Amino acid sequence: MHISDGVLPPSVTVGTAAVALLFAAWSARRTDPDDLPKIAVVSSAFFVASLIHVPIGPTSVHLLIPGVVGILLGRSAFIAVCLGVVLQSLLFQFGGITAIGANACMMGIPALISGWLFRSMRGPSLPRLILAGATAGGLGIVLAVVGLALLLVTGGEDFLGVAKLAMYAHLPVLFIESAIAAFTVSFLFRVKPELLDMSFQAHAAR
Amino acid sequence: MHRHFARLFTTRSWSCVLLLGLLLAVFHGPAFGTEEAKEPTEASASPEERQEVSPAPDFGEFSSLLDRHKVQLSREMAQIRREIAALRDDMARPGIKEVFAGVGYILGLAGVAFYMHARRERLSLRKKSDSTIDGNPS
Repeated sequence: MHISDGVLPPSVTVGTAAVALLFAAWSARRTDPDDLPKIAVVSSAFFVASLIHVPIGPTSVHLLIPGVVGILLGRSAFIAVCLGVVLQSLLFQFGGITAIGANACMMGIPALISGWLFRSMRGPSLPRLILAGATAGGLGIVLAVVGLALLLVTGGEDFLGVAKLAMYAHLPVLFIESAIAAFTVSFLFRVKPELLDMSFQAHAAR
Repeated sequence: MHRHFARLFTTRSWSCVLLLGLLLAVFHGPAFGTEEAKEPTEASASPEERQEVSPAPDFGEFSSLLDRHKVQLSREMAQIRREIAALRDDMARPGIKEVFAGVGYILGLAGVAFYMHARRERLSLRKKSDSTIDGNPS
């Protein structure tokens, strides 16, 4: 799920690039420098996750993990997604270079929203945490699909048609990512809970 | 004198003779061989050609042979073209090299960000210490 060059009209390309820059600046300002190694690791995971293909029918879709990025990084998620999208476009030729802004918005804003949702949904108990993680992981995909459809509408596509098609194609990815998010959250809760707490505490302090 | 002759025919001299012989064989042998070989082939080829040419030319057989060749060649070409397409597909697909490049970029950028942060912190610490020294001229 990447937008290629020349799909979007120029005004939308420029607009999404400006929005992405604004979000990236905000995200960078809100980032605690002590979180930098975590951000680097999660960005790397986001960057590489797009190579994991899930075969469905004649085509295949790949993992996106905006939800997991949002859960782990909170407000710093956008900068991680931006970096990942730029490198995917440059090295993997996933998505066009002019569409980097659009792709960053399409992935980064869902990441921020699912991070926020996870933060507001999580409870002290493990089942509640897992539920929050799975919901946030699935929501990331749903929001990314909605964002894709919204962006493609500006390119002259039919919103419902694109949204339905992309949603059907990404249903397996949705379930897989919910499971990944739930597993990640429960594993981190048991092994290193401060990794889940740290970013949120840092955000609470700011 | 006899001894001298005997020395001449020691193993070393024998080996020299052998080497000379080998060299001769190598440099002259093939030349003779090819010259000898060429003549018979020419001699044998000409009767064959004569045999092929001498009967009435069978164009039907010729064209069917050519057609068969053409079909076979086109089949092989199609196979090669398919293989080239598959290869191009494989090459376009990002591999381990790109993955490591990207991860390296990310870690490097994180390192740069760390450096900037540390520098800012150090400068602010130095400023603080300067101001405390200025503030307390004991």
